[in-house]
Amino acid sequence: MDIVPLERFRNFCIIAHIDHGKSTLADRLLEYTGRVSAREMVTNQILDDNPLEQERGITIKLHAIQMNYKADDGHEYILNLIDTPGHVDFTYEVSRSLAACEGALLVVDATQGIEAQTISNLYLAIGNDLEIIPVMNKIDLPSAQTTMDEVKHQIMDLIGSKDEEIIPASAKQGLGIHEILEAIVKRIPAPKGDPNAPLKALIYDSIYDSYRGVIVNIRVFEGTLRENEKVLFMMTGKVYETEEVGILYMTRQRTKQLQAGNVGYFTASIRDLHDTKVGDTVTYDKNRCEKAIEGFQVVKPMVFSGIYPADADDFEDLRESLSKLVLNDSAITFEPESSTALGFGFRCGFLGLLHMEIVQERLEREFNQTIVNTVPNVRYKVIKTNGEILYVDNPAELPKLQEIEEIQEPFIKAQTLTPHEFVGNIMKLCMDRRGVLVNQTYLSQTRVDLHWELPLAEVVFDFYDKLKSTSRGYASLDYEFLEFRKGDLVKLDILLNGDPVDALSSIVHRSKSYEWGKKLCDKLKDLIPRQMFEVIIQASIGAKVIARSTVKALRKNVTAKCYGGDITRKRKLLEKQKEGKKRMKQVGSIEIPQEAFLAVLSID
Amino acid sequence: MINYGIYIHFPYCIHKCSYCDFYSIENLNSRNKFIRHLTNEISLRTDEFSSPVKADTLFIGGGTPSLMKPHHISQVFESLHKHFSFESDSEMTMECNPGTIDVKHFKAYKELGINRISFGVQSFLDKDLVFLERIHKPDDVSNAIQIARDTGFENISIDLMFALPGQTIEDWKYNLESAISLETEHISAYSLIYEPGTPLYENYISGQVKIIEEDLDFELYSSTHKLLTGAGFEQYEISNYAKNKKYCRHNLKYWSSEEYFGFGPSAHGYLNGSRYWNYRNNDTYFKLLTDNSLPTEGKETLTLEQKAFEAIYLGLRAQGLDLTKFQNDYGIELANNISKKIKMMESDNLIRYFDNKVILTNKGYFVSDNITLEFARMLK
Repeated sequence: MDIVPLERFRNFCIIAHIDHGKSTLADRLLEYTGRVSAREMVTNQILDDNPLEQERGITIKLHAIQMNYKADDGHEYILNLIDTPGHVDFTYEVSRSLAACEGALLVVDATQGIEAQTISNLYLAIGNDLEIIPVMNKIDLPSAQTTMDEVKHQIMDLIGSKDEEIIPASAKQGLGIHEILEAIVKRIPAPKGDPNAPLKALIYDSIYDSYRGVIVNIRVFEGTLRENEKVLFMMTGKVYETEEVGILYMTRQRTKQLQAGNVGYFTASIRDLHDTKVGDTVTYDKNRCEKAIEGFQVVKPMVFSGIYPADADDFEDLRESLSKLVLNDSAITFEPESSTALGFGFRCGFLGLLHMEIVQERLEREFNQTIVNTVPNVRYKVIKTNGEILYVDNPAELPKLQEIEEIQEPFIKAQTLTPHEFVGNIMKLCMDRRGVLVNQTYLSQTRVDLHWELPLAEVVFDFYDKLKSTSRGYASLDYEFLEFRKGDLVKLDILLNGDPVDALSSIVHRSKSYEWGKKLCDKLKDLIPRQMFEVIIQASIGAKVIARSTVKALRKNVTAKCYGGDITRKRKLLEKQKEGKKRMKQVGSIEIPQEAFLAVLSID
Repeated sequence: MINYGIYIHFPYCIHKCSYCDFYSIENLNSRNKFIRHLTNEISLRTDEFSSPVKADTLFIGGGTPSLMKPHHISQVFESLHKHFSFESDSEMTMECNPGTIDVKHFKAYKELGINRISFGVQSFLDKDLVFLERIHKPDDVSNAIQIARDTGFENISIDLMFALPGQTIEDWKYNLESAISLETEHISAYSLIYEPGTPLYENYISGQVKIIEEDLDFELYSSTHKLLTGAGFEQYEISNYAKNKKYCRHNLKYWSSEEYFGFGPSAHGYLNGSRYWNYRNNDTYFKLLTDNSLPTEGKETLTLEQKAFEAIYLGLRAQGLDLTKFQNDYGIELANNISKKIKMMESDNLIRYFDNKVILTNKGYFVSDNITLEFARMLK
């Protein structure tokens, strides 16, 4: 194979908000460079190949594809497109895939303008010294005619680009594709690097394959990666021998070696995804590079929740499913825990709520598990009177009141971008969530950038949905962890007929505890079906009951008659009821439907 | 030797009531043909049994069996006696509509051996009867009972229905008191069920008819118990009350997992551990029997587990679940927590428990599905 000189490589990514047309644009680039046919395009958005991704219209895992493009200057170039996840839960992964590139396409919807998520990723890109090529997409839409100028100004204000540097495009109609490819070649710098230097490569993603082990996706910065060589993962300290090395076309293509500047993959019979952490540096064990690539972080879960088998007998099955899931998604953490209400289960950590929902859905769909999920919460820092510091991610594990010196909760730095008419609504929402406004800037006459400090616990639940509904969908959100801060926090317990149900406990701010307790009692009253006896629901802080509601006793549950000798039908009706009961969790003598454990999420 | 029960379904009505989902048609023309095929079915089904088959209960239901003419019913009895041998104290019930009473017919029934009449009264209030689309009037009832008594029937039952839309507790008490005053041996009081496929159900779905509140339903149900037990009746099943132990022995067979023959379209039977049901259509029924084929639409042979589950819900809905007998019959161990659960249900006044036997209270009967599932779970 001819060695393509380094100056003919271009590595880039696409920064865009959900729905702004990233996947369609990527498809169009692949089609234009002949990587896929138009016919294949009809059914697929190539990059979002996971069904969950397609349903939700988001990218969860990273992907990369190499294209060959013959530019107007007559040379053939190799373009590596590295896709990035598109949700606030996955900011770190985004930063690593940006670090693997020299340039980025900034795709902005001509009718919508720039969103907070885009801006935050854009800043990440600028921080990584990436060359930004602004693309104004969807110019074919009639409404774009009125909004285009403003969006153009937003872009110019943001990145200081000139009018003519912004490429008008319509990925849907195939407009501007040639211009974009030319800009990639002309404006994005070629990668640098010495193929003979000690190997230095960045892991920007890794995927578990049950046959070949972990497939590590990398960007080589220095040196040349070859097959059958011992490589060292600098952060985890693990050493493996490479087996297959190649590049990423539509499918993986073995090339036996990968030079500085290029993007590709390797396998090394790695059985544990945790050995190949995103952001880690790969070098040769014998001939090591001097310094690891900067920016590595251990990804820490932000949101925790209990996952229990609906049927206690399925505990081992659930463990196995989680173990398999973790092979594909190393961001999940799980540890066995037990609950007096729910029996044995796992405390799982997630990057955010979306990540949690994805994991739940995968467990149910791919692994056929029927699970009960408890209320998600953040991880608190507890300082005990004896000076001991604890991190508590399960409210049931909070020490006794008299042993607690103080409880600290995680705060985040949040950014919301909104058209100015919604500023009032968003202020109110953030204030309600105990937020502190730090900064407010007008990006243009009508577009406002608000910076907040907010307790993460207040954002975890329905904040994003509320933000969207209060701004008719226009406001956007991005956040990152800031610090732990002392808070006036209390543990709110729920008692059913006098017995506390640990899986329903939560940690809340004292100022909100009464209202919260009342709403929770009312919600549970609606969710818990009438039983043969009355069920009294109480919310308490310590020994003090602060709210109460009652599920009246069931008076009647006797359905089909049994008088014509049709016993079969009656049995079938009862069997149906029996099936329905399987979706219930028996806590003491009370049957609680699974939804009740997530009641908190549906409180207004 | 077992004594079987016999159920005969007579699929004709002058007018179909709005709530009823039992099979019947309003065109009476094919009655002669029906009787002919029915007797053929009796002969075919008993064929594989060593004859004559012993029986001690007969229940002729429908439909409106009182639309059978004396010559119809004598044909049926002729066939029955040919294939069955009845115990001398057999219970032979016939359902009658108070609006289709004929003295001559009653005499014929009596002479053939019918000794129990069950009247589909439903209500003594005109508005209820209109709502339910019954063909009789309130006054017809006492007249019908008088005729039955004069003919010599000593075991008479009345069916009543509560939980009708708009029904008040006063309406219902009036009905119960009217029924009590007629001094029948037996009263059945059913809670109205909205059965899919009935006009009543359609009206409920379209919002024209509203189901009464659960609490009122319960109040009506418990007032039934209060008034009827006060008048000397004993509740021996969810909806059934009898004086002097004059239970419906045929129905008790259903509830104690005993076997019975079912004849006629849509009839169900339970023979040799297998439940079967006939086609719910006269034409299919006629056609199959013309070819001397059984009109069976489906059947299932019960597994031990299914039999055990049936024993629980059938036992609990009537005369109780004998746990000792249950364990012997099905060889199933009871869960460890059973005594704790039993205590709880006892203290909630849902069951009575003695001699290792569980019997539902009046309150318990009305949530019998829940209690059944509780026990079914304990038998895991």
